[in-house]
Amino acid sequence: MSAMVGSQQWTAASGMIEATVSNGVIAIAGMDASAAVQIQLRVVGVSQPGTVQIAAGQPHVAMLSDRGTIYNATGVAGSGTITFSKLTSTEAEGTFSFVGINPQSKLEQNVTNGKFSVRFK
Amino acid sequence: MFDPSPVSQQDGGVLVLTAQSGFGGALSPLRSRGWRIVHHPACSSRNFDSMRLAVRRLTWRHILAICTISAIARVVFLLIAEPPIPVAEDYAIARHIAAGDGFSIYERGPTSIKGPLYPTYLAAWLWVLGEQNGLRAAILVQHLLYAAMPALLFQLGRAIARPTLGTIAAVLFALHPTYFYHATVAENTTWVVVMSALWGMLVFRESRSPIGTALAAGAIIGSFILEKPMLAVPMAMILGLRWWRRWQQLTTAALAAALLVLPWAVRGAVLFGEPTLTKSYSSTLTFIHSWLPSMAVHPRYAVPDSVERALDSLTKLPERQALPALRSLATDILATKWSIMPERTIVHALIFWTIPPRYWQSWSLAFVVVRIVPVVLLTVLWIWGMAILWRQDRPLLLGVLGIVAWVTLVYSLYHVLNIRYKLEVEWLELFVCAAPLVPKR
Repeated sequence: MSAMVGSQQWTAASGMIEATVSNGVIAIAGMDASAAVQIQLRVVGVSQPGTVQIAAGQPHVAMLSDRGTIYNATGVAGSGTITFSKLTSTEAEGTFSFVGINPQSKLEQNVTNGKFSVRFK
Repeated sequence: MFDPSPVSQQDGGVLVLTAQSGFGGALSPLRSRGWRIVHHPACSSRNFDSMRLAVRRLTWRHILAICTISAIARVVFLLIAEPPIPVAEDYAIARHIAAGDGFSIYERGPTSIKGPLYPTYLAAWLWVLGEQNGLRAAILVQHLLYAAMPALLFQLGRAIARPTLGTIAAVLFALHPTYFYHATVAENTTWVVVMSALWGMLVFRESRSPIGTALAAGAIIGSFILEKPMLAVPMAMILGLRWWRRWQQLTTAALAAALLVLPWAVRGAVLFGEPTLTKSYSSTLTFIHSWLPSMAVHPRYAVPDSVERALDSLTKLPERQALPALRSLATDILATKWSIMPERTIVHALIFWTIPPRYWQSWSLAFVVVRIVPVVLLTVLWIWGMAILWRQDRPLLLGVLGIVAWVTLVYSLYHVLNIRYKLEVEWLELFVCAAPLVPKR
């Protein structure tokens, strides 16, 4: 799992990526080796390859935790896209990008060129 | 037929006139005193009256009113919309400075990834008002700077003897939605734009204090060497041409620039083993980024995944250790990809002038209004304006074109990741975009 956080390259450390699918909710999370930056994606009700938008009225969520500051993209604030190029009951591959917003300070952070290739637990 | 306001520039024995007719023998005494009479091509008799009308319609007071309205609109926008504030490394560094950890970033320690001035500006606000309010105050100041930009463009237009174009450019800037929104971003673009225009005004206007002007112009060039070195190159060239053989002014400007750069260079020598004259760590990193599979605008311009992994490890190292390895990586990329560089540069240039790929999925209404519409309209006006100025004011056109081409080339050689890059020069394009809007009689 990797992405550009702002203009910084971020890659999740091996062994620090988790992916689950349960009750129609796909959850993918990754953390770098220093545990400073974490990205989580949660997609609801998707069972085949395709693209979902993180936007008003949509249940999907992306979250960036960057050294203690949380940036969310949800149906309320922020926006983004998650694309599954491959999605089976055991694994998923795809891309993501989102604009996360801190709910208190309103700071905004861009996460772009995100990629994931995970096996579900 | 003589309009005193556009008779613009008396400079070293050159009198630039804004009309070709109507003076008759009145110029003879000037000629006899050694003045060289230059007829300004933008102000031919054919469009002189319409230009005069436009100048009459919009006076300095009108421009100040536009600035005030813009300032009010921006304050209201910040208070009511409470827009999110996009942050980058500058903010991360500013937090470290405000917390007393020096000019450092994340876990990497001391850094030269950004110039010293903008993060320090942010840090000052964070230190005084705290993290949340401090950043909002810094952004408010940026909005007020952009609100003042029409006044600067108006004055710059007069300083370069193109008052009508300057007036229209001022109005275009006030109406430019990208510049309205982008002051909200916690990066140095707003300061770069405003200081560029201020520098232009200082250098081209008639000054009663040449040494004071030289100090200010030199200090601004010094700040650009630190924060935006790409623009310092044309600035130094323009200064050299403009103050040709005015050694006292040129020396003063060079000293002012050197004094500003020196402390940062010494810091670099102490911390990183080489003087940081400008942003070499950042530019090397940026160049490598542009070739990564995840960032390249086309797979043809991508290096293998292994480079991405190598870069990921290198960027976590302290900069003193990372910089030689990053340079070596960049050199390797150049050695293997040199044959594709011309093609990539052209493709990048086209992207620079449109929308970078990372935004291609962002077709929200706000994005269309804030960026797509201005790009389309300005491109049309730019082409149209070039055609007009090619006939009427080639020196201005070539001057603007030269600077814009330089900026396009440098970014295209490096990378074209971000929309904000073009904003650094888009304000200057407005002088060309203004040409089709000069009212006809």
